Amino acid sequence: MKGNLHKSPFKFLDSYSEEDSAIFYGRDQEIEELYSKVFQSKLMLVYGASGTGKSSVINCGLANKFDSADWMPIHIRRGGNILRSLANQVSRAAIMPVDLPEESIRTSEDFRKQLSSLYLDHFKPIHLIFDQFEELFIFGFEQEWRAFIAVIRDLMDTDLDVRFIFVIRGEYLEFLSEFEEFIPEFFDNRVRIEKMTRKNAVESITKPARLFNIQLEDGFEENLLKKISPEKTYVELTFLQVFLDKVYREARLQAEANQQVVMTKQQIDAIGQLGDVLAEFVDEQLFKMSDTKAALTVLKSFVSLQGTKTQMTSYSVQQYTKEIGHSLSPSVVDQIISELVNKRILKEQDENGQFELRHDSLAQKIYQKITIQEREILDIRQFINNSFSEYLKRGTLLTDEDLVYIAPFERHLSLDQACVDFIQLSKKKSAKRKKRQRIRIVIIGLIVLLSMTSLVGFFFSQEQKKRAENMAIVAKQKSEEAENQRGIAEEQKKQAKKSEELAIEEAENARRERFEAQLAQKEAQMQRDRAEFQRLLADKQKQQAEAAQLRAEKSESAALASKVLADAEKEKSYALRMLSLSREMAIKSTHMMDKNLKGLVALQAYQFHQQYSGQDFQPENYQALYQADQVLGPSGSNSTRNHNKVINQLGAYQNQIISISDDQKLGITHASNLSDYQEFVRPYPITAFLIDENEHSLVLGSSKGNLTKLDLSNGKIVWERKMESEDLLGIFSINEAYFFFGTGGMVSQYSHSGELLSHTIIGFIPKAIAQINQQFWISDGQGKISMFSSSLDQIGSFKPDNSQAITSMVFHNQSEQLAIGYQSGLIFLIDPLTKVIKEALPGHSAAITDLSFNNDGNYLLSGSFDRSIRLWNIKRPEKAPIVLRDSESEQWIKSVTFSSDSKHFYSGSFDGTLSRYYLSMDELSQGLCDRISRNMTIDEWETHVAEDIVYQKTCPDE
Amino acid sequence: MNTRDIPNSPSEKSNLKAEEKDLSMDQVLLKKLQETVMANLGNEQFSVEDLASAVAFSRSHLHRKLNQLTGQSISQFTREIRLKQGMDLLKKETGTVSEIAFQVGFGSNTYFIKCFHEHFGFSPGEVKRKMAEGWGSHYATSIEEVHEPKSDAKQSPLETLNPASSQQLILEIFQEMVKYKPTLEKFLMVDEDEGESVDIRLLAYQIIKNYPWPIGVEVRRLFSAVLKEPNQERYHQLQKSIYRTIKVISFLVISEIANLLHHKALKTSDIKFKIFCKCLTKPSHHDLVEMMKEAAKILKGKVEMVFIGELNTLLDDAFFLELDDWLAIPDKEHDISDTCMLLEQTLMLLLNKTAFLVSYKMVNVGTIKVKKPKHKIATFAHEFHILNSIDSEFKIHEEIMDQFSDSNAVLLMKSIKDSTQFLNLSPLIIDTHREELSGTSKSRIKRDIFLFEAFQEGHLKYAGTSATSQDDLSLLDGYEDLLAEYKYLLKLMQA
Repeated sequence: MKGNLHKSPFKFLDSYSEEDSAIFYGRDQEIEELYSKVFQSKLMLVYGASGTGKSSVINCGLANKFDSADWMPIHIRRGGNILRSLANQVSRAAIMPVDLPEESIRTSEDFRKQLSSLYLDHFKPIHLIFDQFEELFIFGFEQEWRAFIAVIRDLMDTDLDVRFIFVIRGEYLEFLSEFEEFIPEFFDNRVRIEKMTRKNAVESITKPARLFNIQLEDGFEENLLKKISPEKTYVELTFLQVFLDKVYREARLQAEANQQVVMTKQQIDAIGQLGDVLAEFVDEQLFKMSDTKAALTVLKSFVSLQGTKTQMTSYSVQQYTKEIGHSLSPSVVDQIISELVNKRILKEQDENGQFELRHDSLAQKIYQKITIQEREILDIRQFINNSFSEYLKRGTLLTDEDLVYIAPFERHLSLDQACVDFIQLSKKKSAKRKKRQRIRIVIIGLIVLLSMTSLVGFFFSQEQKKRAENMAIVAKQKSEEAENQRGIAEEQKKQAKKSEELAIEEAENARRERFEAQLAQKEAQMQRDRAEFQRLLADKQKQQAEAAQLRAEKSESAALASKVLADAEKEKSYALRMLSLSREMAIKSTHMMDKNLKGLVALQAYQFHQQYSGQDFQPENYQALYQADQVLGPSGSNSTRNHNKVINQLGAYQNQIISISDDQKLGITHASNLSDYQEFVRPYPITAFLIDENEHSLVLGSSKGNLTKLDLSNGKIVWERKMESEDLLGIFSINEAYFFFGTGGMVSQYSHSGELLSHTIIGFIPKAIAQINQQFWISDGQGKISMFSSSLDQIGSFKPDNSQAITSMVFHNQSEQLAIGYQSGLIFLIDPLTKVIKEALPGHSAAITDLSFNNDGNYLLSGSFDRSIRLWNIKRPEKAPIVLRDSESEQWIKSVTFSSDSKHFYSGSFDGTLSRYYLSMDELSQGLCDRISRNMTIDEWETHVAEDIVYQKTCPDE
Repeated sequence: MNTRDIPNSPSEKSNLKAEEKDLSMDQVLLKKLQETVMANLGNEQFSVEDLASAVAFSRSHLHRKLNQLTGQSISQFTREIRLKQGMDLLKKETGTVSEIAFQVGFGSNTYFIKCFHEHFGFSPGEVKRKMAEGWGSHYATSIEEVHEPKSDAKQSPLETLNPASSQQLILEIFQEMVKYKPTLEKFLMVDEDEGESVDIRLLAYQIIKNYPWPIGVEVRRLFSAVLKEPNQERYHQLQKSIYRTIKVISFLVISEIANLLHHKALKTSDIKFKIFCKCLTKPSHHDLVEMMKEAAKILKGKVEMVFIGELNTLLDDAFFLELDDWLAIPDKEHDISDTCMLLEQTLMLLLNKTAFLVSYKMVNVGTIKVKKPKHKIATFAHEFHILNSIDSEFKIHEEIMDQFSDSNAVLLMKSIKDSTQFLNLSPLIIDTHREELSGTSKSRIKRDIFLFEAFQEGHLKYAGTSATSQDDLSLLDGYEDLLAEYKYLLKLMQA
């Protein structure tokens, strides 16, 4: 293999392609699974975390399983628009050209013709591979994916020999649930690509090495893997390849000409920590470039606000540099891009003229280099654009607070003229408003003063005159103080200017400081004006001695009040900034790879949040803490799996959580210690229960209409009955009777001692039931709610939303509100008295399976088939909910409940897992420090917190 | 289109006679061939076999000889004579284009127009128009001139897709298919005056779609653009396509014989059962051919008893002559492009002779549901997976019938409207599409159609159409039934 000596057998950041079969090892099992599943359906979904090698397994592994006559791959990335990319890629592969109509009027039929002709050109089964499919959800629009899925649906129904392979990162799977509505089988044929096991990783090191005649020192593989994943059983493929490539290049340099290359443990040690290899690589390459700062600015444009990689054309990069205030000329941008391609940071330009980073792991490293100021600028641009379109729609201008918010960045924004005019107009209106207000205050002040003046006698005039003189001195002092402040401001301005001349990163800070200085200057100016006003008044007092004292006193207190007010305002705006920073940090932490750093940033964000009295309910902070808690490993057990089938219902009784399941078990779990568990087994799947707190008993309903009353104090059965053979949908209690609702519309009424009172048929198939005081509200399959009295006479009906079936309902007594969940995932809050929709809570993307209110009715918990649970703050419905998802199990949620004390909440999933979550962030954050082994370095603080905020330790020293 | 000088006009013919004594043996052969074709010009049924037997050659021998002398295949050779004769008749204005097409042995007007256009570069209608305009002999000369440049003319896009041999094969097979399924003729119909021409790709598509899947899929691979050069890969695919076609025919034959044996319609003492048993253990190519020869003898004169009436004409001397030639083709020493051409001829003959299969449907029937309303007779709901398809996602068709067919099996049916007319191909051809394969133990079994490969160590071995390796299907739900069916089949053949 002499010819191979100068070519690396390791792939660095690239994925493997069809030609690499000789050096692609360790994925046999996944390849076999793919090869078998690709025949099972026209559609295959391949998912897994970033860096697990999904693209390689398909493009190299799967491709080589096929004979050349049976494999026609068409690779499609979203580009600017996914359907356009599809049409372009198919045209590219075609031999006979097919004329397509204008993009805006293309139909499924046009795509069918195009693919049909492609098939006739090649006579091979066509495999449409949608790689990095998550881009459709990160960058695409609803209209785009809706059009796309309609085309795919139609293509699947034709007899074309076309198969669809969708490759997507696991965390974006939930977005696909929207597709299920159109293609119900979307998830049926799926393959999860796991990270590489250590055993396979060893194979992927030794086999290519053998092929390329590279000698590995004894223990080389073990040492390398230890370094890459010290405690994990799985190995990140990207990191392995980057590391191997680096060691190989080092080893080749050390080998004499024509000598065998030897890779040694020492070379591994010399390379340093893996976490930094990529960052180092980026830094190293940037350092070598002629204009590092410009290159960094260009690189940042290739990272989305979510921290993933994004495709850009040279033009869009140039626009980006303009937006963040580092405007670069097209020729400079082109030159930098070409340099970055040569340095293996960017991929070659694709057929649509787009470039992108070689790998998502690079995006994460670069994302960390985006400063908060830059993010703010991007956010503010977004904010102005949104406000402007709001203005176009409804004519609303920017408020004073909005103007203060955007003021520091205004001149960096390079907005188009329409937006600039919009801001100017807002400013004018604001100035007019302020002027009117000032005039009003002055008039009122004068009237008050005049009336006061008449009350003051002449006899105190001399003394008053002296006092007035004193006041004049005080006023003068204030004026001097203001002068001093101005001087300080000037000084700050100078300092700011000075630092602006320093390094480019610091220039950004300097500008900020200067702005703050300007703000201070303005404030000082205002105070000086005020003082000036006071002095004038004091002069007047000399002449109008009787009135002077009162006026002076008034002026003084007014001045003091304004100062206090100004200080308070300043504090408030600082607090606002800190809270906004806290939220930024929280969001940023969720994208971090280093788990310690992730924990520290999330925790620090939360500490700021507490320090500046943020609200109790802050989804960003909660989610950051929750993710940190998940990544850092369990503080205690927060989930248990005592059931092995779906948990049908959850409820809280005293300090226990009751769960019932299709596995025929009734589980009673201690609310704070999930391992404290006892169970009762019934001979039927249990489908509903009612806790009768008065009698300390539990009433169970099972499949086939079996009913049981259980004494909770001794676990003994009180009575057993059997109603008609319907499965139980719900159990309720009114007065002295239990009402058992069957899934077929039968309602049986039993006394508390078990005597049958009546059987009633409600006349339709019930879907969800809620008990509202002495009534039952029951929904049918068409979204209609019928109201029944306790004697089961129908007393009315209404339809809150005519489109969808209601899948869950719950009523909260004290707050008198009804929550209803729909098949579409929408939730309505309804006033049962007026039946008016008070609030719509959109967010879930699949049917709501269960709803639960906490004790005071301030929070609503919802579980859904979209595999998430959401916690809604009912008092502040405009706030986004907290979204929680167990990334490991990816299970549908069937049931949810709060604990009796509302401190925790719980979910029950289809695989029988009971999970617990904290409602309070305080509790969630506790113990995080015990699991983080360090504090932030100063560098990290400056990068992830802010340079102008004094460093503090997030966790106490051990 | 590759052409050589072939003497054709009557005046040339007389010259030939005069110089006959000086002609070499090869020239004599060419002359004889040409005369035979001319003598049978109007005979649409005149086949390549007929021509071969007229000069006492086997089809393959004649093919090799002709290829060596003219660089053409037999059908190219005969077609060219017919077209030139057609041109003569057009120039003499002896009739309409349709009449002339018929006179020179083209069954279809459109096909004549298409071939004519391809060969001369303009349409027969154009010749007629120009002659009517009085171009007369001048045009006649210019037409002759046009002929040769056609070979240098820009290649049609079709020729870039497939080697000429695949085009040839596609056109011939399609013509043959039309005989059995006349509705297909519409694909040959184009408006010549509008400058339309037949899209050969669509004809290829129809071949793939209409032959039963195990044959269709192999032909599809052969048509694929990557296999267009006559190299090792194309050679292997040709061999595979031929082998698979022979295998399907063999399984039809075995199933027919087994049926007759089951109904005790054969005299067992006259049958050499050994070769049948051999074909049910681990058959070689040779075994399959031998078995079919034996079957041909058994089936002779029993045409009314078999399900596939066409078997009798299929298993004729020409068929076996071709198969013997095929078995004799050495694989390595030969020039690969020559070998490919020989194999293409064999495949063409096989597909030609099995074109009747397009009038049958290969289906997979799952469970059959009985519906018996009160006081009414029972009906049977059949769910057919139709295994004639372009992709491996087979169409499902539901049919409610008064009588029922066999269930859980691959059947060859004359029509899916008639549940009584079928040949059950189980356990030789099976389909796993109905199997629930998502369980872990069965996840390695593919959804595919499998052909029996061998019976070894008590296990049935099959080969699917999507892979080359043998598959062990013993984890299938119905495997025990397959084994029982196989044992019964073997028992019949051990009588």
